[in-house]
Amino acid sequence: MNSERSNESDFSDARLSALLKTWMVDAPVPPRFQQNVWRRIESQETRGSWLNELRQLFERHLARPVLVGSYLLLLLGVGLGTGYVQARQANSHLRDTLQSRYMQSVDPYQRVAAYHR
Amino acid sequence: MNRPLIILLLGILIAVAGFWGIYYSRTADTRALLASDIPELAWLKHEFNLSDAEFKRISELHESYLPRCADMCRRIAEKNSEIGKAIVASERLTSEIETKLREAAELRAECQAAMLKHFFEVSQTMPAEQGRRYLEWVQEKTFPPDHGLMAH
Repeated sequence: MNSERSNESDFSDARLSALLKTWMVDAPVPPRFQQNVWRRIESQETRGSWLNELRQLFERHLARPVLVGSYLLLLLGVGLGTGYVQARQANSHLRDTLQSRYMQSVDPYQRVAAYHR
Repeated sequence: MNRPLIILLLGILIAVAGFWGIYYSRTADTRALLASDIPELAWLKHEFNLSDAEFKRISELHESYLPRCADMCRRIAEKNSEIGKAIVASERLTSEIETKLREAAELRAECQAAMLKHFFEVSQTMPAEQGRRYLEWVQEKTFPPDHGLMAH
């Protein structure tokens, strides 16, 4: 049974090969087809090498303890700076909110206005 | 895991820890105010450097003023509603609308007088310098130069 199926498969492969050999493409190639293909290949190679170089540069730098320390200090500075600015904004916002709440608690007009907002 | 990746992640971890550390320490006072029983009064204590005794007295004044303030709120809302209905029901300025506007003005004067009385009492409970600063601040908030047209 299996040998019959195998023979059939060989036969159809041979027919397919023969058919493909006779197949002629007569559709016109788009303009600058080859140029575009080469350009895409070059683009892929450039991108790969750029990423690779960046990775190597990073690995090279992180092999030096001084640069590792600087990098960590820099990120600590960024974290502290951002936290400081955010905290100042949050404090200012909360202070304004509490001021408004106090005024609304003692000024009936502000309370009525806040109720209708 | 390779070394550069560990260092990269450590850097990010340090940045995040730095951010939260400073954020929590710098907002601790404000968060404590918000967590108090009456945050707006806690803010007043903090803003005007009040002692515990001064704060206690001001809290009592505040508590005794609140029912009066709530009553004024109710009357203002009622008067606004009456004026609104009278305007909608008319096509010209009627004597009824004029009367209600006069009543609203009288009510405003009454409310402002009550507020001012409360503000003076509070300011007199504070140390002299803080009391002056408080009066200037409440005056700016309740009697703005545009005569309240923008605030209300």
